[in-house]
Amino acid sequence: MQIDYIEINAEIRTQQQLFEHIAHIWYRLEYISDQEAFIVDLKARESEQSTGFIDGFAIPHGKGATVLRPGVLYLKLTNPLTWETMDGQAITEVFSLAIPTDNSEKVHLQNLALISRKLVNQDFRTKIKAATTVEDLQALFINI
Amino acid sequence: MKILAITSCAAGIAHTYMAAESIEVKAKELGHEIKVETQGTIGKENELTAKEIKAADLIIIAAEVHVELDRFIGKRVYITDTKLAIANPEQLIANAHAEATVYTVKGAQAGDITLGKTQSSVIKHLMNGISYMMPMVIAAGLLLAIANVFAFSADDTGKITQWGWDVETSFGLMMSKMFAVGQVGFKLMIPLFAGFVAVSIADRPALAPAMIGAYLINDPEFLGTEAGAGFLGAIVIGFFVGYLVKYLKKIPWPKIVQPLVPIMIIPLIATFIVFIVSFYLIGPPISIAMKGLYDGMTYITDTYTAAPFIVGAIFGAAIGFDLGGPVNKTALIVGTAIFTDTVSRFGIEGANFIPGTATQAAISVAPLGAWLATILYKKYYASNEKVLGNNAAAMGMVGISEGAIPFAASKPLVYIPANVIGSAVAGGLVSVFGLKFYGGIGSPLGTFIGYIGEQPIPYLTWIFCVMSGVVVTALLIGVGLKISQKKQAKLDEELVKVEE
Repeated sequence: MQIDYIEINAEIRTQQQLFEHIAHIWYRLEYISDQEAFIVDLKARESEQSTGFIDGFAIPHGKGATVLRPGVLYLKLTNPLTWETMDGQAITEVFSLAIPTDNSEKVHLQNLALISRKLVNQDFRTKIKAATTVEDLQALFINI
Repeated sequence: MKILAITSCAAGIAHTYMAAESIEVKAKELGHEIKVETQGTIGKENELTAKEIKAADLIIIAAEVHVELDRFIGKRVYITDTKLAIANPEQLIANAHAEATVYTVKGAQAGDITLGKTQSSVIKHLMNGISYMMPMVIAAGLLLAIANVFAFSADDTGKITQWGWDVETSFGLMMSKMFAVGQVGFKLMIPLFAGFVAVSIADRPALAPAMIGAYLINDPEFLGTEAGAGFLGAIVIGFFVGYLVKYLKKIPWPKIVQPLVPIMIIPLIATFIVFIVSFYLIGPPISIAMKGLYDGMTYITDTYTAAPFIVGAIFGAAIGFDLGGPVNKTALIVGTAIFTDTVSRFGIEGANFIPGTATQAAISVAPLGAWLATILYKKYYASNEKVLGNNAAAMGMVGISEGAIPFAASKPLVYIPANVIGSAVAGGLVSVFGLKFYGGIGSPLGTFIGYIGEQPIPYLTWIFCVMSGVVVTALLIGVGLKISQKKQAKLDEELVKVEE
């Protein structure tokens, strides 16, 4: 599958910064129409239940009316970021999803579901963590 | 083991699928058969079929959002969130295996009728009041009933000649005091009821004003009327205070007094308002209306011999209709209200027992009828339905109508008429025999746990009435199942013909 955006060496120090960064990317790529609204969506989801996973992974996602089309991006952080995770580890691997309120783009939504499923696989997570270049990462995602 | 699962999360994308994958992988690893339905933003995927559900040993629901469970009636179901499914699926499966319970729904849908659950907030508030009042009704009612037994002096032929106790003897004194204790309970239960109706609406600050208000509105001396406003008055006060306090809580009080608002300011203001309202506005008219209502009811009961049967049957029928749904709850509330109200108004001698006793007699008819039908008509039932039958029997024996819900939900056209008619029979019969239910558990056991007063052989009469209803229900279920099977067979036949 195709992932919509990949960034390595992302310099992020706080959760707020991460959310702003993600919102900015989606806005620039025209996946969302309103950065502020999307940050609110991300925070709302996070406050319901942390999206922190294990092995340094987190899946912050936002669902809202200002999301124009579904997308998934990947960020590799340069510094571990404190996050409420299931194993207590700080995070370095961020998958973030933008989810529209209507579900018309089934194929793309299927992709988001697929990547979510794949993340449960430990082998896949190890490979993602080990990958250091955008090309390596792209190769991993293509094979999903 | 055959395991089925449903996963669903708030956003309907990430955790739904992570949980699904996680459960699938781990269950396979542990050697189970597994299928996971995902209910995400894309909609239902990998949907569970009726056949799979029938064959499943265990259902796991891992969801943050509401998942419709009606298709799992009678199955072992374990409900949790997606978090555990993702973090530790092995633990989840172990927990589910150990702690899953057979799903017997509150709130199944059968056509347009909601069974066993009521959405109405009015009913919810009333039921809160009743649930707090019930222990007091039972404790007071039983003590009063026992004392009452020793108040009758009979002559040699068994004819009652006199009512009262010989307070010169220590036993007579004790009984007369015990009767008084029961009366205290009956006096307190109306404020208690109104208090917890109000608490259900607006929480703690509403308790004091509602209790005081309900007491006032039932004190003829205070109101300067002939009688108090009774249970109806208590309902009015409960709701009035509840919503008044709810409103008062919304006022943006200055920060400095805020700590005092719930414990002092709101109770003080609300109590003052409830005093004005009960004394000047609603007390006297309700009091007059209630007196008229009860005089009318007594007149009808005394004048027409068929009246007790009809009233009892109507209340019984309402109990059997939706098994804990709004009609059932309304009948229970009205039955209880008429009993407690007439007791506090006219004393235990003048109390109207009919509606309350009829509802209690009818309460176990539907579940016990369903159970009896699974015994009598084995061939129409699958093995898991027989288990449900035993479950219904246990629930019926302690007076929980909801035990019949799985049956009524599966074939409403068969069960609901049978439940209604059987329950009406039980309600009507207890009224004809003049049985008096003072409190306790309405079921065949009720006669030993609660006190069913003043019949020569009240125990047997009570059991006879309830069981007559149960038998009628079971027989009608049998007839209904036979008809529905014939119809099905005919449909199948036609289908075969069409295919040919």
